[in-house]
Amino acid sequence: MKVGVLLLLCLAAAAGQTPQIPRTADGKPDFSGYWNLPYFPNMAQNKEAEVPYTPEGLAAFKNHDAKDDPTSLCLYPGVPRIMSSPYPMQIIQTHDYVAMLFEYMQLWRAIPTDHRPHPTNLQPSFMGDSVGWWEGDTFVIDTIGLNAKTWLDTAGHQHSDQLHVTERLTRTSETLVLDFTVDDPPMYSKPWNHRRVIKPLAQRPGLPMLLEYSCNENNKDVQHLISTKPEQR
Amino acid sequence: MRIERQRTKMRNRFWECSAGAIAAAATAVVFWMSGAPPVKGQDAPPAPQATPQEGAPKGGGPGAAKGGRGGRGGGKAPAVPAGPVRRLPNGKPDIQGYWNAGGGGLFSIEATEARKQIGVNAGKGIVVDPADGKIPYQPWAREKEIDLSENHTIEESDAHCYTSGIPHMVEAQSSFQILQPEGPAEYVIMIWEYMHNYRIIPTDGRPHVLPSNVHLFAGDPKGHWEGDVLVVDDANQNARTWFDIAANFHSDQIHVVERFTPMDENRIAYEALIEDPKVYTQPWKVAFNINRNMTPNYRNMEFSCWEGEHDVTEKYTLESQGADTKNLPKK
Repeated sequence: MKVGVLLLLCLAAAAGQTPQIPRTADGKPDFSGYWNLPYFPNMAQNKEAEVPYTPEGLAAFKNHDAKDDPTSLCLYPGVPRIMSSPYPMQIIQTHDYVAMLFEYMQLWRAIPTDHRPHPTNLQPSFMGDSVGWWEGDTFVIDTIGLNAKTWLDTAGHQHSDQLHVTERLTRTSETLVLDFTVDDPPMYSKPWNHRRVIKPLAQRPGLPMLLEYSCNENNKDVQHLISTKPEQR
Repeated sequence: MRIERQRTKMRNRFWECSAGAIAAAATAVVFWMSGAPPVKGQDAPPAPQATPQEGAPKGGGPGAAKGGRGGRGGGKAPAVPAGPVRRLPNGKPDIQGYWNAGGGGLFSIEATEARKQIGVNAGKGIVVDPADGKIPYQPWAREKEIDLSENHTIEESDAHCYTSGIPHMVEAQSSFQILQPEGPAEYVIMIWEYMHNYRIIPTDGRPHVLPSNVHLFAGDPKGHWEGDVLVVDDANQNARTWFDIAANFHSDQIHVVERFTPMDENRIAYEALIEDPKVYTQPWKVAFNINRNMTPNYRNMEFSCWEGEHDVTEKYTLESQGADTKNLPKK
């Protein structure tokens, strides 16, 4: 049976046909629905030697202190870290926007699909400015205008305010695939590529699919976080 | 005091924004308040193509009936006649785009005299029922409201960056965006700049599923369309949010039924019926207009309000001790 399905897929691929995926009324891949973002606490995924650091980037990573993680102060995680934070996300899709509504920190990204340019007077912000466009069945998201107050991940990989993130979102029959590139010349000597496979969120009977996330309770425990810098222990 | 307080808030909430960005936003607000003719932008009305809605209230919504009581732009119609309500392919009103609420209830949602000690000016508020514009508090609750507003303004929910409750979220002074995705599951999505709030409102008639002992800041919204009117039933709110700066409050038994009535392509009449038998003697209503944001290429900015508003604590502590906080040294 599995061989048969595989054979059919191979035949479809050989014929240049796109496998069956959900589509909107205007023919675009349909990303809408509830999704379970996968947790990737370390962008290097234990391949630290392969991270294309610049000397500045390496120093910033080595000198970071885990107790200073901005998210412990409820500061927004930024892009791309929001896409690797292990909470549900709902995608709402119209002709004009792909909107990502996150349970985590009650954040949202409303990404226009019309390939508009970034504002010329952009001020650095935590989530930056995202614009999008379609390239065939791929939705491309271009994000700049990010401040340097966020980290790339829990492991403490740092970035500068020159960070430029390009995300390419595609749909399979069951999942979303997010390929993204971290382009930050001051910190990384070449674009740093990543992939996330995002699976659907299972129904939780008796509960809304997205719950309220209130990161505003004056996190008194922050001062108790243990420093990872030996000299501060 | 009010200005000083607002300055403190602005400093805390908008410090990520540049002065230029704030000035640009302020310019946009002034432009909008001035009632200047709208300029065509991404949200500018297209050529009329929809047919007049059926069953829509005539002669303005609840806010218009009262002259759009109080608030920025409440009841103020755009200078250029607006077209009819836009339509989605499924026939439902298309209310997508950026909007500005004319709530004006940030300082006091009820009619009030000037209360300088808490930075609230005299105003009509947005309460339209009862007719006196006053919230029908039970006696103990009125005493509590006065005590909170005069002695415990540090408990104001916005000052702590809490997610806004309902209808406070809709009254907020910032613009918000409405999205209506197509598809079998019907939703109306509302995304605010203020407090980075958002609401996902299913409109397929599904029931509330949360048990009564679960309480959320913004509650659990469930919607449906009654003709052209979007009706939202919001239950399960907690008691930690205020309606305004004047300490108008509710308990965790609050139940709100909102009605968004599209009046034309650029105006929505908003009305909220508020019930809370623990705090009020009777149900009461607020109403105001929501006008389309005509600023060309408008986009929500990032609103970074996070926990630990230490300046608020320090300021009110000093004030409670009689200190002059107007000339605090800059940090």
